[in-house]
Amino acid sequence: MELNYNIIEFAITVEVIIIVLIIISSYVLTAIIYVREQANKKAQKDIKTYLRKQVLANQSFSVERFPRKWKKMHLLFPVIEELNKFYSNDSSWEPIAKGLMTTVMLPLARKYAHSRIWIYRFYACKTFESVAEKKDADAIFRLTNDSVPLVYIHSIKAAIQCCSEKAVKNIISRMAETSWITQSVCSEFFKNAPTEVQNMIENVLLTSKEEGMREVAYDLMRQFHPKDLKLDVTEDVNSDNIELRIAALKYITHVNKDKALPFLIKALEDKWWKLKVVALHRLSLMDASGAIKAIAACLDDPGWAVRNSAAEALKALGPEGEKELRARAIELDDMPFKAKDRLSKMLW
Amino acid sequence: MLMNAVIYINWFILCYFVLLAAGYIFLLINSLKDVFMRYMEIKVDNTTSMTKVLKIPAVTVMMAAFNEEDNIIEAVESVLNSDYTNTHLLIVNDGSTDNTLELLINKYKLYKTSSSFVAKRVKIQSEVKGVYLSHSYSNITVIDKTHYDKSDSLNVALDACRTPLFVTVDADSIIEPETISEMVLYLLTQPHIVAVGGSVYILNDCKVKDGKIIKASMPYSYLLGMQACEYLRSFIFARSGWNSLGGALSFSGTMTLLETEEIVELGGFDLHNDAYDFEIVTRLHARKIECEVPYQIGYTSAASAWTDVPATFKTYWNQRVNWQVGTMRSLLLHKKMLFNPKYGLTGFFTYPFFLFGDALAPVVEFVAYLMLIISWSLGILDGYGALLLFVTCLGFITLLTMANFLISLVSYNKYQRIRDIPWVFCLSVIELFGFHQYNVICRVVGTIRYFFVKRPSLSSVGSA
Repeated sequence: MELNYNIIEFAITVEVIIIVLIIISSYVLTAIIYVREQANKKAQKDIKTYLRKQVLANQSFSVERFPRKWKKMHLLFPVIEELNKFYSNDSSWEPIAKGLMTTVMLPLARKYAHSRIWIYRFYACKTFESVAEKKDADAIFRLTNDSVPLVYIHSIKAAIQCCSEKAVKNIISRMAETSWITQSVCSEFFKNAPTEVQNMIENVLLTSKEEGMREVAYDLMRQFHPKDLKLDVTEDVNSDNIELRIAALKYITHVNKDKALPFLIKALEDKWWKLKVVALHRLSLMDASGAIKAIAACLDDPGWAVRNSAAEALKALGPEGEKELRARAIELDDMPFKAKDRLSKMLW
Repeated sequence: MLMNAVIYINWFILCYFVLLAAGYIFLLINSLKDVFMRYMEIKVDNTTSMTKVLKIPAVTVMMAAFNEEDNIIEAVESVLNSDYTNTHLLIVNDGSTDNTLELLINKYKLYKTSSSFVAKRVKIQSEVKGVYLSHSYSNITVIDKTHYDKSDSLNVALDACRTPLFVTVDADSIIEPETISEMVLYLLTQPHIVAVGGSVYILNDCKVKDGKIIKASMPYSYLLGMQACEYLRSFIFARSGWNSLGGALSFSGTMTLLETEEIVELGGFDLHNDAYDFEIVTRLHARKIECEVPYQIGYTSAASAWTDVPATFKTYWNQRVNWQVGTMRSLLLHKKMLFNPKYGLTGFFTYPFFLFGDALAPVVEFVAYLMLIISWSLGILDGYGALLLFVTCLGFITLLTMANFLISLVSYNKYQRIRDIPWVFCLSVIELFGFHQYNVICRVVGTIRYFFVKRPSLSSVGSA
């Protein structure tokens, strides 16, 4: 076999052409990016000046007088956010901001909610977060299916603002596929959500059989005021799915601590260490003097996390719990115990 | 017969490099989607919007410091300048013989606590001498211990870590203010992410003040410039190209975000291994696949760190030899993954690529140089063909470097000076005339050292 010189020479030629194109593109793109950035900066500066004049003159916002060339989401949104921060204590900015959002941004958001460019969908979500109406429910539902994560995360707030059941159910379904960290972060959106949203989440528990969704729904219900559910939670507490069991157990404790006590004590005998740790943590947060013996038995658990949680729970239960703890670990003295406790709190 | 053997070996080497080139082109094309997303993302200040609306999880920044009196304060300041509001900084002083600890104590008003440190979750080899807290900064903790190695220091920090996430940052590196936010945002917004890596750039020749990069600059010396080109290639396409294939097997220990409980369950970092970052990510891959748990190991080029690299050939040699030893160890500890159907795409593509295409490529290249000499001495060397192949390789490396520089320019805007473009071009052309060969020799020596120096097994890592 011999080398085919033609192929190699052709490859070299292609490489040289590509390299030259890359060098030319580098210069051209640098120039384009620079020019575009300068144009955007100038436009945003002009918008800021215009709006500040309105605030100073205490004028109301008029969409007819607002220049058409500025009606672009990527120009307006950063300016609105900056002025929100700047005028956070100034009441004269609020009506102008509201006017701008409802008469300029909201129509733009509706127009670009289905745009192929994800940044416009992102701005649409952010607009819907503040000023969504019932008729935007369908657009928001589509955004909750967005493949771009940032758009999806902001669509959660928009869905809550709009109180769209379809969107909320879709969000729960998607959250079920994410990690526990993402779930716990996204569930914070549901704090201070209207009661209507709580009813929607309860409907998911009543109708959905999917374990992941049920687990997320229980966790979301804990963001609201405790409410007795129409369904029997016992089935989920005894489920084979450990995450669902934990979520159901946490919810029962959230609703009624006294009713939850027998479930928590039963969980201490479970084979899953995670369930025991959760039960021990919940017991440490309530008056569980009746469970001290059961908690003390966990000090002999083979798992370090369970033993540690049992010790923390006994300590939290006051003098009776500490007495039980010292009876098991007589070499403990106060100083390192308290210092470790203080260090642990600081490290959190 | 000797001549036939030489000819067959030459053809094998040629096919090997053609396949390797095809692999790199595939990764480059695969990375373009992430690059395009990033190009769009930089128009939006998404980290600020995230930190405003989300309750962000706490992150511990872990720094292992051994004789870092020249750099430690800048590194710590860069972490304190972070726009991520929920961070805790855990510095482990690995028995430094210089003034590292004293500098930290004076600068951050540290005081020694009376608490004793007992490792509960991860096995550590050294003795902890003291734990320091700060009067001025409630989120700084310094742990002073006897010297062992960097992995052991990180294991101490891992045991002390109480947050769900942690980031390892080198004590001679600077992170950008939005680095942690970008990594956490990536983790929160992609399903099943367990680890996130970021980009690393060269800090030498950049202007730094109070932990901030005042002026980023492509280094203008030969050795530093060569390393800058290497880093451009490694961190831009070679990492993001793996995102859609389950994730790369290695990230830089300069800056990686990991879930605390995942790493504690794995038993912590591998000791006596300079490529501990490589090994932990590979181990994470293996564990997740074995447990049949959906996972993803991601890379976001939006998160950046700047690190000091060797400025002399001697220190470069030491670094690369140790890295190669660590890379070989990290890969061969998990050789069960090689072409094992149980490990899916990782076993059939990712792992073999890293083993044969990255770790063993210098050995093949060294053999190629030897074969060149043997072919010439046997009189079978086709001079024109060899020259053409050399020019092709030169063109390919230049193309890759320039493509990555273009990507960096358009999307991440780190090197902004117009004269950097021709400078990177010159560096990529002259790389094959000496520097690359020096790199190959370093790595071959590292490979030989791996096979002839006894190292402890992975059983030295484990739970406490």
